[in-house]
Amino acid sequence: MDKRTFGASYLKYSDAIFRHCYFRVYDRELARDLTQQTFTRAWEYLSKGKIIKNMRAFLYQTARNLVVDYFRSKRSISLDTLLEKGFEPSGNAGRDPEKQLESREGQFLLLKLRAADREVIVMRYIDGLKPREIASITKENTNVVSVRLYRASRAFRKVCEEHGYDS
Amino acid sequence: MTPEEQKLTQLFGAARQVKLTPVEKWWLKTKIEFHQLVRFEMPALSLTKPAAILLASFILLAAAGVVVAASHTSPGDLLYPLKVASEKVNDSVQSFFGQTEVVEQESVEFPDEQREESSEEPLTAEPAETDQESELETAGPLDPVDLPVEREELPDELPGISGDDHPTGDQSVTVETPAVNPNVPPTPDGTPPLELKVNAKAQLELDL
Repeated sequence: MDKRTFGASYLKYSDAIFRHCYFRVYDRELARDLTQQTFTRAWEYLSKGKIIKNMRAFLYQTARNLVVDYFRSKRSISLDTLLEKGFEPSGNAGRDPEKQLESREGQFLLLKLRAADREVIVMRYIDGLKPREIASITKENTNVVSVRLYRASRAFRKVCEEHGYDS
Repeated sequence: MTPEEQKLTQLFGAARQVKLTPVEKWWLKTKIEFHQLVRFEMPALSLTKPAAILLASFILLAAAGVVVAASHTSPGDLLYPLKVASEKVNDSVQSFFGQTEVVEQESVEFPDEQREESSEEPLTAEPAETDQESELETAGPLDPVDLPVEREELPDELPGISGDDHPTGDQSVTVETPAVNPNVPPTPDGTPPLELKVNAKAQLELDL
């Protein structure tokens, strides 16, 4: 892959990688930094003469590893800390106030989940990855991913019910 | 897709619209390309470290200027991103030069002549000794820790120190008096005269 092809990959996947990082760390600036590191790592990998068969999967896998490294050093995300820092759920839900409210609630309630559950929910419903693709990124069996997805969905539903919100 | 999955997909529909702003995307791309320049393409330029930092700073400032012009933001808003970017630049330059130093150390090779000489005398062989050094070597190192220390056992009661034997009472003190010159007559009061030694020069002056 040459520089031009890499540039095309950046244009194609930068938003998706940024989105994935953002909904994992809930910090726009940090998500930007992680996105940059993800593409830099990919370039370094290519510069060593190695071949990337599936660029999308490779980028998600790199971003995921970087997020894991971040959480290892920073422990976890606190909702209170995020609110103190001025966290505002992002995204354009259109002009429908009900949908905007749903979107905000969903993003807040996502924070109530365990990191492992949040990861699989983000990959499935925000990144739009199929269980097979998630399995290739997390290096797990597709069935294992499906079970994790089912349990995470159930946990999310429980959190929604606890907060009086019908998912 | 199950109804629950459809609900979740709908719930996170807005979240899927989250993306980088055009300025953010351009700025990130610039930083990535800059990293590539410093990390991978600068070795081909064979720049010295000060020149690399100067070039990197210039490119960074130029990029910041373009961002200010394109996004109509105030330069003050870019202070923090610039600080972060400059730290990244510094890290990249430092890591690059650090790595090249390691590579240079690894690739050091002896010329053929030196290699032949060094092959004759292996590095582990002891160096040639001078006479003085050989004497010192044969003497061997002293190990003060292992030297035996002899201590005499003192008796409980030392002779002559017991309270009864300790001398008390009259103690004569002997004072040595100066020797009296028999050739000199005694003074009228009977005390021996003191022998004066006069400086020869002073005596000569007195004679004159």
